[in-house]
Amino acid sequence: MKNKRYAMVLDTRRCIDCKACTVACKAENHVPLGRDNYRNWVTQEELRGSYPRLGQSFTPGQCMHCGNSPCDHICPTRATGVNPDGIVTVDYDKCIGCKYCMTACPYNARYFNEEKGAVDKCTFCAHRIYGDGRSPACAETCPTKVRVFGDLNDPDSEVSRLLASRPYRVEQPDKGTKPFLFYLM
Amino acid sequence: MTTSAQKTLRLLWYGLLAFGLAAGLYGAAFMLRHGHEEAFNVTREIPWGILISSYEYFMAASAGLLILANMAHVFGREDFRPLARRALVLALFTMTAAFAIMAAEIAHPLRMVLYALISPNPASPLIWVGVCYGLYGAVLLGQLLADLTGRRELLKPLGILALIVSVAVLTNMGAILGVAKARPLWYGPFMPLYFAVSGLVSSGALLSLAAWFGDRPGRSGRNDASLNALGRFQGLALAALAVLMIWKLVGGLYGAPPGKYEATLALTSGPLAVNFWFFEILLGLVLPLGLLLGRPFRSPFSVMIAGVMVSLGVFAMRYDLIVAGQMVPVRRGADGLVNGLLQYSPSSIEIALVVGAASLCLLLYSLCLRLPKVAGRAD
Repeated sequence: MKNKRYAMVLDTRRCIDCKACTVACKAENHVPLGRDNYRNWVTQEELRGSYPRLGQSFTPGQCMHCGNSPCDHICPTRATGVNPDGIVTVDYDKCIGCKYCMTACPYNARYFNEEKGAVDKCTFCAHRIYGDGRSPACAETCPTKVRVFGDLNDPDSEVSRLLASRPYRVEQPDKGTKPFLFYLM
Repeated sequence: MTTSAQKTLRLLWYGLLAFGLAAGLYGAAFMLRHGHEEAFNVTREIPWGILISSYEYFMAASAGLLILANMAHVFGREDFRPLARRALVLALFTMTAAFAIMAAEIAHPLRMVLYALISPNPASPLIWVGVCYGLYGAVLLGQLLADLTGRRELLKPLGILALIVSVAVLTNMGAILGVAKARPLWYGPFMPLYFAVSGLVSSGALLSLAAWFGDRPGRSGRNDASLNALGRFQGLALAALAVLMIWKLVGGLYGAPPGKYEATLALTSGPLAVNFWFFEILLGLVLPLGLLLGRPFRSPFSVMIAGVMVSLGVFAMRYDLIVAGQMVPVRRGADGLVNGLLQYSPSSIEIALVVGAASLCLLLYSLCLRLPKVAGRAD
């Protein structure tokens, strides 16, 4: 049987910037308080138009679980690894806190978790996926269903069907990281 | 100089170093008690600050010093011979300062050693830097021991090895930045070359200070012929660095390459402009080049003055490079931007740690030169 390849598809037109995903992530993954400590985020894009005809979009983001991960290449002690299903992980016991991965990530997806004494990031809530097969907390909690999580190697999965039916983009394709967060257009 | 004046100067010198060391110890104690987050001003967007830039300054200077130590042993440059042992000792202690800073910067230095051995990632430039440091330390200590114990026949073969590992250290240090595609200011093959040349420049500057101020604080023991030779070498190395700087600027501005352009502007007209124009360019390049290449100005004294200026200039250069490379946000929507740039200034604890490491280096060097065995052949 073919390996799974996990990915996330985001329909940013549905995002209302409620930040429930950020709160759910913090609660689920025990992310400490503090400005720098978060695994996912919502970018408020620039206002469009002029008053009174204004528009704004919001772009949620997190670790892109890249197919060509700079963090994985440069981690000196293999603390960062990539599972066969594409989830980019951090082994906290191996992390030496050099922060090289933080400088190498073009998405600023990593932060230093002082409580863990290691660099931390989104794992697609791997403990939920491998535990009882639940979706990541951010996807499950989103009231407008911006995020859809699933297996790209399964042609019948929702993520596969969405990417087959709608055009999409990825963040910073010029960096060559082959991200697995897909934004529907 | 009278004996009592020498004694006073020596007391002042050691008092200053003791103060610097105490500041460093306070910084280390604060960091251990309160953690990096509270002690350092680095952020998730700018994770590397003055500790990394200072570590690079000392380590690159160390590698350059080992190259200069072997100008006589390998290339037969006799005018460098009186400085050879001094360069080796200084290389050892600048490396010590670099490692002390690295131990403070890295969250788990002991874990680093363990997992670098049992779980190395050969794709990581950091691992290769570690390999280079291991070889570098072994060759440096081996050559110093050979020199101190009179095993002169070993100096040349060890010197050839020393040249290879020093170049490897310098270029690998540059490669750490050069492979970071997320940071356009750093990315590319320029960094290894830049580190090699700037490492030689900073080591020449430190060695000229060591040569001028003699083997003991307050007592002149300088060798003018060596200083003149060092001055000529420094002039050429600085000219090479100036050429690299010009093309670094042109490459950063021409056609406004995304990310690189904004970072270059941060240097030339942004928050780092004073550092860049005054310390890097004026103090670090233009004035010393004038002193060393302008025949009417060239003298042992001007070599020493150029050494002071270049030491400050290259220190600022390392800081500017590290900070400017991270000031441009890598993704949209970052908060705390000023004129589109992220902000960083070192905390007092970070500064204290750098002062402590520099004082440690100078203290060890000064004490070491009081040993007759070490000081004996100096100059």
